[in-house]
Amino acid sequence: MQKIINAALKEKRYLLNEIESKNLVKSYKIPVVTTKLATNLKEARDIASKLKFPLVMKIVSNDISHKSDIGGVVLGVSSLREVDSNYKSMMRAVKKANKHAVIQGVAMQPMVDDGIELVVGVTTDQQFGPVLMFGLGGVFVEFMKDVSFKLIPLRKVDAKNILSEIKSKEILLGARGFPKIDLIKLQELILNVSNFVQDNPEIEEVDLNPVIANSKEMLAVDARIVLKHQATK
Amino acid sequence: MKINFKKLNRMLNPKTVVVVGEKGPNYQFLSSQLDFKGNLYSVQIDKKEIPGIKKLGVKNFTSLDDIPGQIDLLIVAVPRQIAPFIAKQAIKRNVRGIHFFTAGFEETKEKIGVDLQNQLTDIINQSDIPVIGPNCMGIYNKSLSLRFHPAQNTAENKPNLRKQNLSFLSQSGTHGVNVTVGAQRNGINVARAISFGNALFVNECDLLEYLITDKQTDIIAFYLEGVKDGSRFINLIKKSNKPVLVWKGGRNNAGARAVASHTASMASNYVIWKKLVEDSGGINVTSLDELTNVAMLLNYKKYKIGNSLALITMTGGQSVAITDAFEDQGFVIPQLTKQSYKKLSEFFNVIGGSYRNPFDAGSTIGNDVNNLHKILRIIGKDKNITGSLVIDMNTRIYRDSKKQYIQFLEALNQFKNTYKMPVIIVVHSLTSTIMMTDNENVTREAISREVTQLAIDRGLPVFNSFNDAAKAMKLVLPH
Repeated sequence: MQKIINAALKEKRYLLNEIESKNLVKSYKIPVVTTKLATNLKEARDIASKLKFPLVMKIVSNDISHKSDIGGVVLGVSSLREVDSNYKSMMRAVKKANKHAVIQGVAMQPMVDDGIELVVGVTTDQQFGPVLMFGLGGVFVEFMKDVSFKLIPLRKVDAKNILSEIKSKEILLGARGFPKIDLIKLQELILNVSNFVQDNPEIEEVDLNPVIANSKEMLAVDARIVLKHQATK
Repeated sequence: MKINFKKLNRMLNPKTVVVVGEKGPNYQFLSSQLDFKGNLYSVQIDKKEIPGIKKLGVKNFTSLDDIPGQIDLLIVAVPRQIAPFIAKQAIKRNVRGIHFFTAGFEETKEKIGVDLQNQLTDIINQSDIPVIGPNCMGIYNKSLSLRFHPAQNTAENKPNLRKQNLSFLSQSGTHGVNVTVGAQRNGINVARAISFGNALFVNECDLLEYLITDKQTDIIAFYLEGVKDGSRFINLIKKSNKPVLVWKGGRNNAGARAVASHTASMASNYVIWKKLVEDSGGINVTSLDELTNVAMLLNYKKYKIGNSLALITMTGGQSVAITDAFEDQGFVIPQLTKQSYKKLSEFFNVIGGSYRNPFDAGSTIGNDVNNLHKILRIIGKDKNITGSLVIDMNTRIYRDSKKQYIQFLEALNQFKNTYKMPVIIVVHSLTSTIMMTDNENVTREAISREVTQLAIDRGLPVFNSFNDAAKAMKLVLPH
């Protein structure tokens, strides 16, 4: 765990890539969708054959920050042949966007069934220190700003309360045909994010966006971690 | 730096105050202190200034060492270059606490300012003397008539009132004066105000910690542009059994720029700030008016405000407006019980009036205080009304008969105590003389003030508008 953080800091790299970010949060029992890094086409095919189709393929490069904007994300990959073609077209797209970009590889993960998109994040406030944010993901967080905050560390009661502090809280309760989700599991996830940041003062920001929750499961589908420029213990 | 709270206590409640470097023509600190209940001395070596100081009746010395006895509070108003020297003298003289009015340090972003601040910090940090400032107005203590502005009223409130003391901590001197004066005009006893400026040594958290256990303080209010230690601040608010009001300045980007040039503090994301203060049990306010409105409500609050209200106005239009204002803030204006409606139907004038709740009661109450008593009894006994009574006390009644207006207020006060339900009065300042004829030689402000005073004298809070009342009540509701 500390290895990933130290290695990045040594390289003066403060934005961890998706694989690093997911590995870090996973060690805090935060449920993350299985994600493997393929560094070449052969590896991509090997990984794909072990995962369940359909898949999601995402470019992993420290030089590309908005990967979906440049065609670096493909959803619903449903066969090995599609793995091939997408792998090649993604490489071309990245080189076109930034010909000096160093590509670590392609992140391969199974598609998660539809569900409610949630966001759990952490931002470090200059005055208050680390603050946890929870809300509904997708358009809700982007346009409605329907989120709530708590000071880290959260207590159990904070994790419970934050769920009912968003305006669209009825959705979490399965209103209007939304799936019924496991709220206890969600509270645990939130507390684990709080513990993760409290134990690792090098962390400046965490973004689990989205966490997809449905009646079967709850998984962080994407993760992004930013480290502080000067780690303070 | 660890704060010596014993010394801080002496400094905030001094027996001997010395002002160093006071300048005319205003001699602001000395002339504010002329009623001070303790020893007041001046130290000034400038021959031009000494006659003016003597004229105020204040004894002047040319050295700190010449002052007799213990010095509890040293107010320093010297030019910035001399501040470090005075600090050394003060430590040598073992003063209990120092307030630096002197400005021109880090906030100027000049090298000399930053250097002087570093010198000052090094000197102060060698002692445990609490220091307030620099760049601030310092300490107001009502019970000792210790002031930092002559306008800070030190007159006592009427003794029959429920007296909640407000203490105000401010990063700005102007707001320190304005809240002291403004709140007192609303009948709130302001026990202390402390303007602490750059908070280099004693900071907002130290002062909050002091006020939480201060016997003179019942309500704590802040004007802040930033805090040094956010999590300590939040935890102290959580710990406080007293209400803590927080007025945050620089809530958005342009405001934050003004803050950056005002003091050296960081601007915080207000969304986070607001949420954390609310979570810790604090009350967020956004202006002087809102602060004094909430303080007024807390001051006179004997009973819980509650969510379901009875609303009384004298005209139809106002009965709609008052309902909108309170519903907009999430209050419930319930129907009354069948029994209540039956009793009301026996005497209530429904031609040009209504008692559904809201009450349009002008034509029923009219000149008959007994009808007001009847209405209040019905409201008091109605199980659907569990919150408060809000009443529009039109000044037209006052114009017709001052005696009767007072009878109405007495009836409301009696209702409040009998049914243990808060009564909130609205006197719309904008409309307060519309019903009067032109030849009446009274100003709107004067009549509003008179009426407000009459209500406040009876422990009934008065608001300028339905919206003001509704907003303040909503902020106080969870407390």
